[in-house]
Amino acid sequence: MEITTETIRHTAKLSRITLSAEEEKGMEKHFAAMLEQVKTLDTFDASAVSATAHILSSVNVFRDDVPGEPFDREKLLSCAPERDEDSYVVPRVVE
Amino acid sequence: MSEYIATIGLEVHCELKTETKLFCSCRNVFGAAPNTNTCPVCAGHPGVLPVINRKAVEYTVRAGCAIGCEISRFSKWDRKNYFYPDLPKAWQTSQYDLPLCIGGSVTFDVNGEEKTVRLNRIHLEEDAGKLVHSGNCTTVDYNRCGVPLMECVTEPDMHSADEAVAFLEELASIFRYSGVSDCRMQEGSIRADVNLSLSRPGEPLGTRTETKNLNSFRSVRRAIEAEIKRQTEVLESGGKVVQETRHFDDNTGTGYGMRSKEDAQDYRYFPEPDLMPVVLSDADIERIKADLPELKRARRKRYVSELGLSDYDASQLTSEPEIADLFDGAVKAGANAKKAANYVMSEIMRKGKTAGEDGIAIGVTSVQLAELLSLVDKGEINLVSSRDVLDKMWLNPNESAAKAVDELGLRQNNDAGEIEKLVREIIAANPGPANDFRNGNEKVLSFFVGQLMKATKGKTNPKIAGELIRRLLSE
Amino acid sequence: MKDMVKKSLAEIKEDIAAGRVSSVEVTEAVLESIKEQEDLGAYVTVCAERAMEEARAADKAVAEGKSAPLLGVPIAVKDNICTEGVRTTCASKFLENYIPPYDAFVVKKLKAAGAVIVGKANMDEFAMGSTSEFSAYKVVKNAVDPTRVPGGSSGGSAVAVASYQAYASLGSDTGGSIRQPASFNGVVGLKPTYSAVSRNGLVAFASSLDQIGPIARNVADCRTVYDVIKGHDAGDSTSYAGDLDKGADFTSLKGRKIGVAKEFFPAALNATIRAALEKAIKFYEDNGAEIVETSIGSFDMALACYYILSSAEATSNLSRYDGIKYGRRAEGCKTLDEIYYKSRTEFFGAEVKRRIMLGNFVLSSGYYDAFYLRASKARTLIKKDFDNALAGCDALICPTAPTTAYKLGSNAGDTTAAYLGDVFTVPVNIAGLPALSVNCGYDGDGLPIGMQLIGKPYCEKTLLSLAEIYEKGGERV
Repeated sequence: MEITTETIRHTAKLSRITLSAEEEKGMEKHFAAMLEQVKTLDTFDASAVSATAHILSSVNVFRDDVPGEPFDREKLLSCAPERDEDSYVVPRVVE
Repeated sequence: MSEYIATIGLEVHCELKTETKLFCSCRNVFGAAPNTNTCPVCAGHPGVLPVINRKAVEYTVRAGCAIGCEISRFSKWDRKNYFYPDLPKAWQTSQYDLPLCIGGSVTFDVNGEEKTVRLNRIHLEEDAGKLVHSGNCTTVDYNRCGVPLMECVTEPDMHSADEAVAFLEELASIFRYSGVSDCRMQEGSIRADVNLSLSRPGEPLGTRTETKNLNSFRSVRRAIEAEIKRQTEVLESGGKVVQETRHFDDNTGTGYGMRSKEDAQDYRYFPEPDLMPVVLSDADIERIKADLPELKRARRKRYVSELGLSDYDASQLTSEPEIADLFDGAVKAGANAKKAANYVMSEIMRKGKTAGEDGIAIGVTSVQLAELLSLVDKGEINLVSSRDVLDKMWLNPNESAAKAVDELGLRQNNDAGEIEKLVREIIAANPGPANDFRNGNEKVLSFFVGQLMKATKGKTNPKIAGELIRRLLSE
Repeated sequence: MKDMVKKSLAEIKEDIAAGRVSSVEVTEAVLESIKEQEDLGAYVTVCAERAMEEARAADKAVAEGKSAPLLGVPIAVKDNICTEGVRTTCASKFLENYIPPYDAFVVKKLKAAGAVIVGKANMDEFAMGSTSEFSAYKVVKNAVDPTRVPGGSSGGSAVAVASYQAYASLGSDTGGSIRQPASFNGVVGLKPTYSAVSRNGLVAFASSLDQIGPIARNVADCRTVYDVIKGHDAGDSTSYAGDLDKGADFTSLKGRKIGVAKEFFPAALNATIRAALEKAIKFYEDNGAEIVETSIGSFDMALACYYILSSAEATSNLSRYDGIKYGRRAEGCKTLDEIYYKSRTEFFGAEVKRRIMLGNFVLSSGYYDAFYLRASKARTLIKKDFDNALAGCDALICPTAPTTAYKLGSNAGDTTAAYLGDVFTVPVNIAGLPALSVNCGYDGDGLPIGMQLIGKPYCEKTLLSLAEIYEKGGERV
């Protein structure tokens, strides 16, 4: 498999990150090195092994449908970079 | 040139009516002030972890049982990753390859014919927040974030707006009857995406489009009709339908394609490491199934076959689970089925409907209703004054009908001797109309009844009154 | 630096409890030590005022005759563990101003145990790195040789303990981030069994691998802190509700079996490190333990498996940093996309971006099966190999890291080479097992060498006993 600039750009888009031309190149190199490492995974027959969906074997971890104490809205909103009285604010979203 | 056939599949999202959200103990309520039902978990703060609401799983399984799904013995959770301001974690916790319910079907009537639509699956996921656009800004409210949502995916078994809407109505009714969702369109607690393609008979299906987030039955109908028209025009003019996500504007009644970034969406699903799988035994499923009440179609059939009601009455009484429950309860408490049906359909439904456009608000218990009907039956009160009793009992479940009758002084006069005396006085005071009757004018009878009721403030047994007036006028 | 800061946690706790010294005095001494050694970069945030308040409260509790496992003892907490009201940055520019609205489960536990939290320990940004050079604020320096890296990502936590800026600390370990810096600084670090310590409030890097654990100057102190922080938490669905003490406390090695898996001793292993480990193995054998040879056949796959799974989870976990709800937003953004792109480009460091990119690549459409799915299957094999190997012994012994602490900046050009330093630690996270690193000697430059003991699930006691016996009697190279 070859890592192209196209792949890097698409992945950067998925990541919402802008890369300079130089960073793109560095990333290409990094990806290529990682793919080399990943070849160690080619040594087993994947069809014969089931994936580990979870490292633990427990199941059915639930909580009861009982409301907790309301959380102070201000404690959350005060963390926001932009807000108004009761909400988070972003530039108008165009759909 | 032969007609195109539309092939339609729906993805229906229903909010579950749990007390709390799917993964945190914030309240699941509609209409609260922005961001008042949020906490670090549903606001996606660093370091937070989800814990599944047991009830949400049970409700989804119950819904699945109601439409004959196969319930998964093993299901798990996955992350659906995308950036949007209404999604604070930047992923939606959903179920990708192992949903809670598989298959199932819904049978309903459309234009007088029975139709069955198959379901592909029902899975459980969390709702996103709400964006409000104003001026240059969009504000974000996370109250709805994490509210449990069932996504029901149908097979492409529908071919018209009528079918799609009838299906949705039936599905909503099943979920309401099952007690898992209010399915209130007004509150956005049921929403649908429409997948639609056109083809000529015998030919493979055409390219489909997906119209997202329709939040009323009316917009589902309009969006389907508009999309069929649009795709037909595209094809007729030799063009090609583009696979895309579309949005339907309820104000203009037209759909438009969303910009291609939506189409290039790559959700990068992978198993949610913070949640353990759900494993259900046969016993678990049986227990949940046992909680399932009798559903609409079954009740409707029973009302006709066992209670002898007309098909029309049965369908009226089963239009909302609250009404059917009230009716069933009253009959169980001893009320005559036909009389109870008439009373519920006339008095109760009229009064309940005023409570809201979506659904109905019933303010009387079945026991109260049965008692009231028995008082009417025994002639203790008449139908007209029963309304005052109903008003007094409404939203007051501890009020007994008999007590209300006494307090309102509505117990009617059944003493024929006393009534006769009054009638004689009224006839004497109105010689003109009395003569009219004797000359064959039956209509004036009601005038005398009216006069009698006026004199007794409605507290006269109308049956006795009618017979007496007729006899005395004929003397 | 006052002498009292050099005492062990057990000693200072005794002193405070007996009224020989007040927590206020101890905390002042530690804060002074922190100030003197600011150059080491062990802390991102020092919470002097709060610490003094907590110290006064501890003194009051002592005066009232109360006791608690950490009453009045100054402890450091890694800066990716949420502390209500105290800035928690994960050593990232993104969270420069983030003050969590809640305490992590382990922080509640520490507070309930009477601990004084003196500060938030420096680290690699979002715990991604093995040198602590990727802190967005300042580089952490090795406590033994400040020209060298302290290891990472819990570099600050290890250095704070090793240089007497705290009696113990909490770190987090996703692929070796507690054990490797413990090794590089000559202290004891325990990565508990996955699920033994609640992750509630630990800023997630790779959720299926992350685990909080203690770092201390000796095994007994490590045990004390572990006993405080372990335990079931209903707020973490992956928290273990069963018996967390499946292992045993013991003082004799009679009947104990220690496994040596050949894959952990490759031919190219540094000779000094090999010699130190061989000496430790001999100690165990001489003192009655049976040494058994075993094998982890899937060992070679661990690194690739780790980087795929951890990056995939990280990419998702770190998508929440979007400049909307908390943390920083880039200046002058006019559209939503600008907020995403500019904020994430400006406030994430290079290493974090590499991991996010790799994670998105391995999860993206068309590549999932070849990478993520295959790595999940490799995980099954690795876990099985460990289960088999551990079925025949109480613990595996191996080096914690293939090298001792190297010079600052020496990995700058080659990130994948740095990844190789995790080769002995990542398999443990993949298998979800407990492991402990304890010093077993020094190399020619006087740099500490760590040995790693890997145990069965929930058998931390066994590891701590084995390490303590060695600590008391073992002769170092």
